[in-house]
Amino acid sequence: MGSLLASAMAIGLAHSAYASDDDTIVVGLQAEPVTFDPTQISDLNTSRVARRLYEGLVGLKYGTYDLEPRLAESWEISEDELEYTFKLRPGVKFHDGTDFNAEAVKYSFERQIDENHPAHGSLTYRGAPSYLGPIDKIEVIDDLTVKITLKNPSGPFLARTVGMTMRIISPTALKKYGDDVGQYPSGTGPYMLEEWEPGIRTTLAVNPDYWGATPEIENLIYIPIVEPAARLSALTTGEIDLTVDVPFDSLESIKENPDVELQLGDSAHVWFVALNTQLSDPPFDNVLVRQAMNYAVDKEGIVKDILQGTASVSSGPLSAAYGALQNTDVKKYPYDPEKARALLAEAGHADGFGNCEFMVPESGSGMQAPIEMGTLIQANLAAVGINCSIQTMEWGAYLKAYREHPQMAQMSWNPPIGDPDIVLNNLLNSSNFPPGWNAGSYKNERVDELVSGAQKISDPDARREMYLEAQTLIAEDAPWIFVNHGSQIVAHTAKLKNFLVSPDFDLIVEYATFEE
Amino acid sequence: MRNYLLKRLAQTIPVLFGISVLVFSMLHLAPGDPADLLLGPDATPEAVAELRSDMGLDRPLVVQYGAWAGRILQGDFGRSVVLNRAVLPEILKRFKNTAILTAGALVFAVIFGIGIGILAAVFHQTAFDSTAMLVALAGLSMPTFFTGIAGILIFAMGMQVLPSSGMYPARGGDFFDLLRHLVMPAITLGAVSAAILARMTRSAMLEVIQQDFIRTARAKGVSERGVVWVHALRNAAITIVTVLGMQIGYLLGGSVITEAVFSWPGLGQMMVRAIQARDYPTVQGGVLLIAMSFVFINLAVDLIYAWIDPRIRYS
Amino acid sequence: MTVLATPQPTISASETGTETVPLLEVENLSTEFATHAGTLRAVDGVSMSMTAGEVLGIVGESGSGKSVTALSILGLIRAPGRVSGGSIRFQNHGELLTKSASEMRKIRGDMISMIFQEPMTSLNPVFRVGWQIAEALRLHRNMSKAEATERAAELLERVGIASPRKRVSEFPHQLSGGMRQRVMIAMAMACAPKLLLADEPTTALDVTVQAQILDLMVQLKEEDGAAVMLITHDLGVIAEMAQKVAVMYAGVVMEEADVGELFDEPLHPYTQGLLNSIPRGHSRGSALKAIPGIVPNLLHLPTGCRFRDRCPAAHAPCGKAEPPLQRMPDSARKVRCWLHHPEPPK
Repeated sequence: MGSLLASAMAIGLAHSAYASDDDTIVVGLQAEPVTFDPTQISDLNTSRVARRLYEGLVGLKYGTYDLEPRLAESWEISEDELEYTFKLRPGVKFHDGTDFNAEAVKYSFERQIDENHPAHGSLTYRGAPSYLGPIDKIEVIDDLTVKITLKNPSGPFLARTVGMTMRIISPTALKKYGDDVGQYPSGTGPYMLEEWEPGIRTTLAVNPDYWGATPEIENLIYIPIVEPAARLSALTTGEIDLTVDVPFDSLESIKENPDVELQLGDSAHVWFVALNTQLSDPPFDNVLVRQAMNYAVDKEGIVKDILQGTASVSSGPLSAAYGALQNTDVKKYPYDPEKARALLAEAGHADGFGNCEFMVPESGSGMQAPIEMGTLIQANLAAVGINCSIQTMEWGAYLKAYREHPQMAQMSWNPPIGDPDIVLNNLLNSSNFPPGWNAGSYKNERVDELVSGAQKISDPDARREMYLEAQTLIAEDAPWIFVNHGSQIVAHTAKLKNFLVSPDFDLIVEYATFEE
Repeated sequence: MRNYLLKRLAQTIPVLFGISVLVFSMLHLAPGDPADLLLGPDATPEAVAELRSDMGLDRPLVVQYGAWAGRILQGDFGRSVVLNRAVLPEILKRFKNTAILTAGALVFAVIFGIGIGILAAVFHQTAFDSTAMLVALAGLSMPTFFTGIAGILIFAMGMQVLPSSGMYPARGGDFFDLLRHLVMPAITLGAVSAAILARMTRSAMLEVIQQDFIRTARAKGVSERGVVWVHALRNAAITIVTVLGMQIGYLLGGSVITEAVFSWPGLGQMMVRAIQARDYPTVQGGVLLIAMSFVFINLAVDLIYAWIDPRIRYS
Repeated sequence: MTVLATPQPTISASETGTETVPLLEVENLSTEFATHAGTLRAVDGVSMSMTAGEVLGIVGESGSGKSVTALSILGLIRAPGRVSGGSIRFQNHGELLTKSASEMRKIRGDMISMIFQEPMTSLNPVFRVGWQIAEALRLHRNMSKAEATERAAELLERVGIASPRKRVSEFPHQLSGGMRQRVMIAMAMACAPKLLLADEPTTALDVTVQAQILDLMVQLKEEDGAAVMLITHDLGVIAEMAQKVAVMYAGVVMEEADVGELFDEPLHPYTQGLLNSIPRGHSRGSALKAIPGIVPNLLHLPTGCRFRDRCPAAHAPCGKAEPPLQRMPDSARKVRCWLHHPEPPK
């Protein structure tokens, strides 16, 4: 054993200089990219890489949900809110050297909409209805002008052009590589794919012809490390410069390490417990009971003790990442068991009630620490007389059961784009009743009217007013126990500066630098 | 020997046929229509109908099997639904990595397991023997993920002498890099096998050493080294090879967890992701490849057997 | 309790009147085995002597210490056993008991070799028989592999195996029991040893094959001039082959005599019992008819004579002390019995 150890050390020492040059950022992801066909990307880890390669007409201001021009320099929306005319940025080239122009936009979009399009066959997942569904037709006005006509007005349309499915890919590459285009990406982004060694690493190189400011960092290397402990180890040894999803129990050790910096990024994440608002036994149909349950749960305790301060207490579906779209002036439910008991008494349940079944997943994307959190919530509720039994389930089965009339169930939501529609409409509009994501069957006609209405107009101020009112009503109705908005937990070497986390879970490394 | 080889090769044909039927049936035995499974719960009926005719699901099963097996024989394993790439080159790439990991684990298990087993038998009932068997027992009862994570914490994070994950560093990738990255996963994966081999080798050697022919060898003037490494080991090898054959199977299967702990880009990791994503062509291809390698490993073990034990060869 | 035998004079050349130099002199040999119940003395002060070309028969029931004596001579007693005392001198090689492991390895298979009882299990099943014979030649004669294999085939021919060139490359399981014992003999005779220890060489074989094997041994011994220590419980075999006989019981020699004397006039009641147990009309190949009672547990020997419990002639002195191996007047023979002792204890 001794000699084994010695030889292990000899091998290690002979090679312990991890090449972490200042012109390369090495990122440790949880999994490797699946495909670089932008229309086919459905997971966070792939899009964290692909967002360096592809751009959309509209982009997010780095680190926020605010829209700003990207491949389109400007756009106009017609009076009837059906025609979007985009003026494209001149002189932009795809990585394969061909020009970016109006034809390319048309080709990229029509490929997904038109079943007879020559490049339609290369799609495995076809349609992308929620993103491109509202589009009626796409017209090339001139080389740098494209007009998109919608079937009906769509409030979130502009925000959706930020999404991966609506990023522009080179038509030449699509024609050349056909079904294999996912391995030979050609976008307009600041980095190009240099080498993709499946399972080992994905290397990006800076795009020398990038239309914007050329990044300082020459190469980005993404390596997949599945095990959280191994990711942290790779970070502390300098093997990687940056990683995501640090486990809660490792936060303390990271904070103590001077070579590693922890960055908590605001996100649009929301974590809640859906209550079945149509159910009279247990009496979740009673708004007083639902409000009582919100008072009964110690959300601050959950954030502080379980989540180690990596989240903020929630008072509604939208987080601070939504900026002015978040209504902070709503009814709040601070931890107050006395008030909870009073409300329960007022509702005619002074002695509380039992027979409630609380569904908890064993784990799940964005679910934080579901069992610990569920157990604490169960104990908080029991303290005011509400006795729930916890039923745990594997994540796959849980997702199915969640959408089929649960009594009371945990859920979290990571919105991929910055429009409130994707949260409020999907989770709380009665048009998404079970089987659907509005699992608590919440129905408030005024909320329905506001949320559906905001989908059909594109005036930002009018939409904002509607969403603010909806949030007030939702807070009052308490269809969920509002719990927290989790932060993205990113750890990186202290030398890395100017690195940004985006609320949509992107890791923005384009403008990062190394400083000693 | 040649007859034996031909006979054993011929025996693999029905086995391979059976495996192919099972793998083919996987998609068809799963509850629900394969097209539904592939498209997921949000599929439209039109899409299901289209995919059904694409896949030939409207034809009789035997015809479907024939077409599928014909393509497999030509090396066409279909396209991965998730990766949208031909399955065969992808699974071969991953299988190569799994094979490297398994081979590393095997080398570790053979050198340490068999070596310690023999020494424990030679130094029977000494402190070496009892210590070795205690360590082996501990090795047996240690779950792979525990050994793996403990290894990462100690050697990668604490002492910083070995890399924590992957096959190559972020940059570079020569043979030496591969070796460094292989050390921990291979030991983690091979530890249980080494422990089993040590125990089995020891008991096989102890049994052989009691035999009359060992006394004959000593009476001939053969040295103790010759007695142990030639006369006894060759006989104990019959038991050891059986255990080893089973261990290769175990290592191939056990590599799934090790690959996950050390982010080793092998077939196991790929299969887990393919199963989660219902990527049936990849799952079928991977299962077929693993099953075939099992068949050929068994064949190899049987041939080694026959080579070691003439009683099998000549009967 | 064990009674330590006093050193006994061996049968020496001067005493027997022949001029031959002793080949092997075993003196007061003791071999012990450590067991959980205590230390067991399997050979308890045995002395014997052999001259070149002589056949010494050692006879006795199972557990009498015959095989342990042979293994002790060859230095093959392994833990938990050990040779605890005495002396084994072999020809001009001197004392064997003080030789190092590697010196003993040079003697084993070369000067002294051994044939075992079980031909079925005494050959290594995974090596060709030719290789197994050649191994001895390669170890002791520095022969090349080819030379040794060629010589192995000649040896097979010599022990009467047909088509020896083919047989050399066969494995033990392809041979019959008789053939395997011939292979064992070929292996033992490969280096033309001066002393052959044959431990029940025919017991496991068919009666007809037994005769062939014994004839082969006689022939080879004559040709090579080897001395043979023939261990058996078959007195018929002894009568056929041996010149001298030692009768062993519970780790000691009870009687020692020329073969004619012993068969004509057995002195020890135990020897008489053994002879009486041979069915009449058979001189060879018959198993011993058991003497009443069993061989005593070596951990719990009776006081006095160890045969006392089973002895038809047991009388008062037998319980008092163990009789010494007493030389008979005017003869080379010796007996361990108070009946034949001039001064039995009162």
